[in-house]
Amino acid sequence: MKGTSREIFLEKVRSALGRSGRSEPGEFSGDREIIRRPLPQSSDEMSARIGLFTERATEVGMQVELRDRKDIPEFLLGWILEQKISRVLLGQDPLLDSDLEKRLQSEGIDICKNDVGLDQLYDEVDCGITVASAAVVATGSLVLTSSDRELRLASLVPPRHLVLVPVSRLVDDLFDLSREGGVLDSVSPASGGIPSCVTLVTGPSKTADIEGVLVTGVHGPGTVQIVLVE
Amino acid sequence: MNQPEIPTSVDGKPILFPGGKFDIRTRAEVFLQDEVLQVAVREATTLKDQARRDALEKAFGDDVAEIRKLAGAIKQHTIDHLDHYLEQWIDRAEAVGTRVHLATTAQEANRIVVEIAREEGVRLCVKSKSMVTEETQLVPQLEAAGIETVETDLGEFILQIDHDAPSHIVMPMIHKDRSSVARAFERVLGARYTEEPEELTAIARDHLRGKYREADLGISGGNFLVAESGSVVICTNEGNGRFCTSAPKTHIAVVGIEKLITGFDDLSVLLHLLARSATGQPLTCYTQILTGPKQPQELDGPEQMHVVLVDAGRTKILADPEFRSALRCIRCGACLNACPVYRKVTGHAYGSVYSGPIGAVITPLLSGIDKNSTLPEASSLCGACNEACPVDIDLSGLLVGLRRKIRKQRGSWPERMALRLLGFAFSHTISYRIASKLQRFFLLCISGGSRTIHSAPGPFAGWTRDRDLNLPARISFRDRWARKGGRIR
Repeated sequence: MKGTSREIFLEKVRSALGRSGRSEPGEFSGDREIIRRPLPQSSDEMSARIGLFTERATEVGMQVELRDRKDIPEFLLGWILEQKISRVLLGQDPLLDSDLEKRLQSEGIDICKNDVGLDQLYDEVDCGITVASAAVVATGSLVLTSSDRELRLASLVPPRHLVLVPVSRLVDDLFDLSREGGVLDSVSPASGGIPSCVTLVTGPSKTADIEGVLVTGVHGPGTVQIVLVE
Repeated sequence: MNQPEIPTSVDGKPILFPGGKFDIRTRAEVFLQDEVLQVAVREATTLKDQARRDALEKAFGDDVAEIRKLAGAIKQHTIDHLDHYLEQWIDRAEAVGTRVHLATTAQEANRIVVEIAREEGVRLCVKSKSMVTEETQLVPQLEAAGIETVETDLGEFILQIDHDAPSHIVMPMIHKDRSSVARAFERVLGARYTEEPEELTAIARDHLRGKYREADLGISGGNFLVAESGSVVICTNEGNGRFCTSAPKTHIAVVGIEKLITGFDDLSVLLHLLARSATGQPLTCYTQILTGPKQPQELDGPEQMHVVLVDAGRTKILADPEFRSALRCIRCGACLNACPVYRKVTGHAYGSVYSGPIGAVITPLLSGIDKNSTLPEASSLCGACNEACPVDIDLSGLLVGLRRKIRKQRGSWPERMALRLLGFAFSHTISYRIASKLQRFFLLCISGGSRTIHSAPGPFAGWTRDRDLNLPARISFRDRWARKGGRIR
């Protein structure tokens, strides 16, 4: 620890607050969940979630498709050809299996894995393909986590990002990410700690710095294609 | 490569941190004449102000006021127990491998960052947008230590290569037009001249990608510090923040101590408000929750994560209960967009990284009332800022409080005496009636037969410098009421 010592620093804060020793604050008394909006009434909760997430994610400029698990390779192949992509970076995930790899290769698409070199990643990969840990209905956000399965840079460096999200991972609101079993659950013993980097992605990279004109694809991907997997 | 001279502002002093005493009026008068600037700032702020209203209304309908109160209470709770949550945050952050450093002053914060950079043998540093590092003026210190430091937010990058300074918390180059960007890119980057925002963005993108690959240090600010987990939360739109915190082997976050919140439930509430208030987005494109350096099993990320917690005058604000609520600010810029004064005088008039209503409040509190005594006067007290603030800060109330404080410290004795007399006169019926008669007589004398007074004489000149004064009605309401047979108690 550099700079001021911990005790002197904390002492300064305490004396500013007019306290002489440590204090235990009471619980915050407000109800934070008044900000949570209920899902529209529907007999089928899952389809309501899917519908609302699709609407919100589309509003912020991401594309959303809903597909059956077995139709994933078919869809990916079509999308990759349509986008004229020649090299993809594939994370490691049961959803991105060897069958998919074979299909892509048979169409002449180069596949890089997590051991991709930096030069190749920056200069040659057209699209990162990863799997989201969760997605938030209230804000239309994807939740990406650092892990042993995919690179943080896979969803950032290539100009396009394709993300698979099993529909079972849709959560209603930001609050749910820190509830038991969520990616930000730091309390329950089973959680094993929070990943070092959790990123909520809510739209393609964008700026309006020059005269307020909206430009997408500034530093990160300009295209974000989401595939909800049933 | 020809480096232009560092431009000074209209009063011949540096744009930010003018040093010595400065008067916001002197600067404002010149910016008010700049028609291009006036149109640009008016349009951008009007659009963003409307986007904020629409986004909040769409998400929360009639509950917006209640939700702003909740968010204000959340921040106030943490600030009121900052000692506890600060300690908790430090413990949790150190437990996950973050190296925490504490800076009492701005200079100390800069020294810590430079020292870490030297120890790590850093040659190139990429930096994402951070208000606190603007406040401490970190970049010149790094450059002086021989460490090339590149701002990577598009707006901040343009300002850096054009030796300019930000004039808005969220839209840093709101005062610049596309042709000045085109000229800067042509001159400094050797790029082909183009005024297309899309092409200009692509030029910056290509240039900065080279920097991300080579940088050995990334510096960021932080929007929130989560006490429950020891996390730093960073909200950005362009993706440069993700590069700065993911690509280099070392990451340093420089964060003010007022950014603390208790946990992820607080974070959920504040995230719902921050981007909506700033730009009208539900969330910024990227919200990163960073909890320590790369873990052994993770594939990439910084090997080292440092966080420099900055006081730099914040405990001074904390110690004054009247102004403590100013520390709730989450730097969304909504009060700037809503403020009729900011829209006219524009950001650089404030002479500080923090402009607009919140700047007029915290700049005097952080860096001294004496030097900044004119800032709290730069408000019509219309209260638009209060209604825009997502954390329910009573900005106009704080501005009035500051004016009172300044008058107490610096007001001349005749002025204080006059105000005391006025206070007495207005609180007693008889003296009030005499005073208002006298006032009418006096105003008639100086009006010269006109209905409006453009300039009052002597010590009263200040009243009419920035506005005209209308004559009161010929017959006062009180008298008219009495003539109509109304009763007066």
